[in-house]
Amino acid sequence: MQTSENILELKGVKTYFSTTKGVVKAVDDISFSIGRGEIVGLVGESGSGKSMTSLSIMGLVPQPAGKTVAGEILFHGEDLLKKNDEQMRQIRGDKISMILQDPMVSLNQILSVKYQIGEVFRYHDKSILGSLKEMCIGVLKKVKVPSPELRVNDYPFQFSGGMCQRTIIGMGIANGPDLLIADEPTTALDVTIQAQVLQLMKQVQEETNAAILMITHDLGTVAQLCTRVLVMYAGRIIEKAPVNTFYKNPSHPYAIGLIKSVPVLGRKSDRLYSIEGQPPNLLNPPTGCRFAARCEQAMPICTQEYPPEVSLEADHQVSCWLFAEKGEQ
Amino acid sequence: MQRYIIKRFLFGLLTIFSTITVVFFVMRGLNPADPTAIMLPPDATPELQQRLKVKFGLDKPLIQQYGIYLKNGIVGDFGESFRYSEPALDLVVERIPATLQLTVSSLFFSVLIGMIVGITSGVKRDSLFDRVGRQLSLIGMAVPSFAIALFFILTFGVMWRIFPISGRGGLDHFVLPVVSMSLYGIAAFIRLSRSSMIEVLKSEYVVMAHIKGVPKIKIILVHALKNGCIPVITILGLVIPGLVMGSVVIETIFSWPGVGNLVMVSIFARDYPVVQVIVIFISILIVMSNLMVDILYAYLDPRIRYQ
Amino acid sequence: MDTLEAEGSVEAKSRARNRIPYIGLGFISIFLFVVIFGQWVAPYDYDYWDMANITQPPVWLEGGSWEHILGTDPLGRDVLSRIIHGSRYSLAIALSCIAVYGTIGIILGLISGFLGGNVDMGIMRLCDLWMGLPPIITAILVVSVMGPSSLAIIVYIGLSGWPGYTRIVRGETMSLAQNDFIRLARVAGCSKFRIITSHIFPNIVNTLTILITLDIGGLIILTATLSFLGLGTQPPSPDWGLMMNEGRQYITYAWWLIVFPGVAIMFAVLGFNLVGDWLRDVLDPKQKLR
Repeated sequence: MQTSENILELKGVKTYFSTTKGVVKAVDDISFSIGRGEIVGLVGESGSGKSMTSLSIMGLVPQPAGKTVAGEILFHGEDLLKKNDEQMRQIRGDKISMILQDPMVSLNQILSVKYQIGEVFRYHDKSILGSLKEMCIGVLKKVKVPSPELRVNDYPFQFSGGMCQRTIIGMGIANGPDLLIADEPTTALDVTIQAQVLQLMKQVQEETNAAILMITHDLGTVAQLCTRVLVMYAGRIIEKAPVNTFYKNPSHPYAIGLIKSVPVLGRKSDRLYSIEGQPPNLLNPPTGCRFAARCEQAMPICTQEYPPEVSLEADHQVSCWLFAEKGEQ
Repeated sequence: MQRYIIKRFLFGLLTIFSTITVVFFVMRGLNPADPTAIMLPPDATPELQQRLKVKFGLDKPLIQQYGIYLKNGIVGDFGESFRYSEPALDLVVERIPATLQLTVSSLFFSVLIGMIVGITSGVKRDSLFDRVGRQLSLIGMAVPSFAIALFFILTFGVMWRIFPISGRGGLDHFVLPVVSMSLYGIAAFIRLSRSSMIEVLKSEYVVMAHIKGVPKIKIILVHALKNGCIPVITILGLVIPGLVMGSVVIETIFSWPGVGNLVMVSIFARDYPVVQVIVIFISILIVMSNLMVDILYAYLDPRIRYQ
Repeated sequence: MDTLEAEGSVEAKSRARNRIPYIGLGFISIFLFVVIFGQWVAPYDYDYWDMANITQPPVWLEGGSWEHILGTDPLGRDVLSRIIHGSRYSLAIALSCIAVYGTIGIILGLISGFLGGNVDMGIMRLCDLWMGLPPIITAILVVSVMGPSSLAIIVYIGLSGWPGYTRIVRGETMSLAQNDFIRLARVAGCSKFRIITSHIFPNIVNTLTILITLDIGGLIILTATLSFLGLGTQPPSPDWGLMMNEGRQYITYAWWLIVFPGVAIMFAVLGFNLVGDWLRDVLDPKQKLR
């Protein structure tokens, strides 16, 4: 791991939700780090806790039911969990920003685009740098919205979905953040627009050298964009690997299943592979490995104890009894 | 935007005209009772009754009466009151200020207090303030305004004698009528703005604003308030007709010399010219307030403005 | 996105807190008990004149007696008995109103939603026009023509309340008609009448239950208000609104004549509102009926 240049490091983060039925462990003991300028993919099916991980970093876990109860989130070596609301607010939108999934509902339909972009500057004391309107036009220019001088006065409902997402990306990078979290930024868009937006993100990353945490369930996006992959399952990270290693040599049975379930162009197959069964209920997760019930190679120990994290290579870790010492016995 | 407002305005005129027509034919055509019978003593001769009918133009065919009514109406002549032998229009117009004072101030307090409490409740959901406010608004919506009015008369007027309980005069005369008329509206607006606030605060664009680092107070005052107001304004259009009904009750109880009081007297006296003018007044009031709601709506929501 | 799922669980928490409204059910039970068994429970008939004990205060005040627990009016009529008998008037008038506008509204809504096309257009325009007519004007018209009576109230509310039901039922019917089981029924050759009565109607009963429960409270208030104004039920009926109207002139020395009927209205309405809100949360989780 790039310990020297880590800008973000999570250590044993747990984010729980209290409901009337009990505690939902949405994020359960997660550790990973992101280096400067890296693009890391966080992969997993919906409900696996990907978005909760990102909201935990932002300090925006829905209150009052949800709370990050344990762990450390180190940003430039400082623990974000120890910061107060105002300090977090100043970091958000400035040093760390985030892009949400659905651009059409992420913009307020009855406030002008100019106003909504302007907020990013206004509340981080950036307005001294020039006229707010000019800065907003600059943002739209950077993300290639056509005729930004006219469009800046429009309302989001006059924008197309792709333009809305461009605007949101623009707001995300406006203050030159060190970390940009992108929560499935292309899922809600047309396939043709998806490619454009991804290309834009890559370009933006090269220009600003911001680290990106790309949350997605689309392995194609990961292959195209990311340098490293984190696989999440039922609130836990089960495998961490560089992207090439991950595609060539996935180790966790769930990760293998994920890769197998991607259709490959030109390869003939009778039917698409799919992993049998459903992910476990996070209300009462099984004590052992959470994938055990769906795993074809499950052993007795898998249901009894959670597997430790094993390093297969320096930058390739997996949590599975197939690779741990106890499991081999 | 202009086309939208002109369209709403023309629709309003059409509503007023059709209301006048419906009311005319129902009151004069379907009505079994002969108004001249009420005006005269029981032992009046048929000739006298006939002369009275001619005087008020009631002897002509209905459709002709309608034509005359419209023709005179354009120049502001809506006939003479059967009861007071005064022009019906004058009778109503001199009472309009009293009614408007009552309804407008009640509406003002309902919206102001209801929205402040409701928004605070929605933002501080499940706090003590929210729970108390929710219970009070439930009770507020379960008590009819006439019962509240009588209860206030009993306590503040009869037992403690703090406020006057009848008629119109200084500011103190306003207290009991306005408060008893506002309570139901306050309760309704608390519930509405609370749930609308909760809905808005859950939305993605509020999360997005947090992500941008917008201070919480600004999120509430700009994003949530503006969006949360839209359903409240929609309901405003439905509340205003109810307010007219409320003013009839409150004016009757507090002997308030307004239109609501007059309409009750006129209905029981079968004083149709007056009732008709009041109906026209009510429909103009409602059309105008709907128009104001539409304009407010367009002002808040650019999606309507740019249609 | 899993934010939504997590928010769903937050939502589940606050909805589960919306427990069964025992208080509301309690009020409704008492109300219904009094409606059904009132004539045996009430100590006196509603127009029995106890001329020896006129304007008697409630039992806990000086001059009160156990014979008239809540006191008597200036004609010597027992307030408690009149409130008990009055419950029947409140419920009967409210239900009659619902029966009238509910029937009109549901039938038009079913037809409009199922047939669509020009029929639907026509019915919807009629709804718009009808809703444009302010309710207070309809009330003035009906009372002017019919004279004040409970029947006039039922006619007035019955005539003005239906468009709301038509719109909701129409919407439900339209979305139901898209479902496969309705299409199957069509393929199987069911007549339109049969599809509406045996496939669509049973599926909108939930919605109707919520609507009706939520309406009863408001109707009790509205009918009491009209009776209070003298436009509705006429003396000597023990209608709660009318009782308060009659008690008004004695307000300076016989407060019990207006306070007790008022409290009765409040508890009845509160009961139906509490249960209605709860039903809506339970039966209509998507909150279409907000």
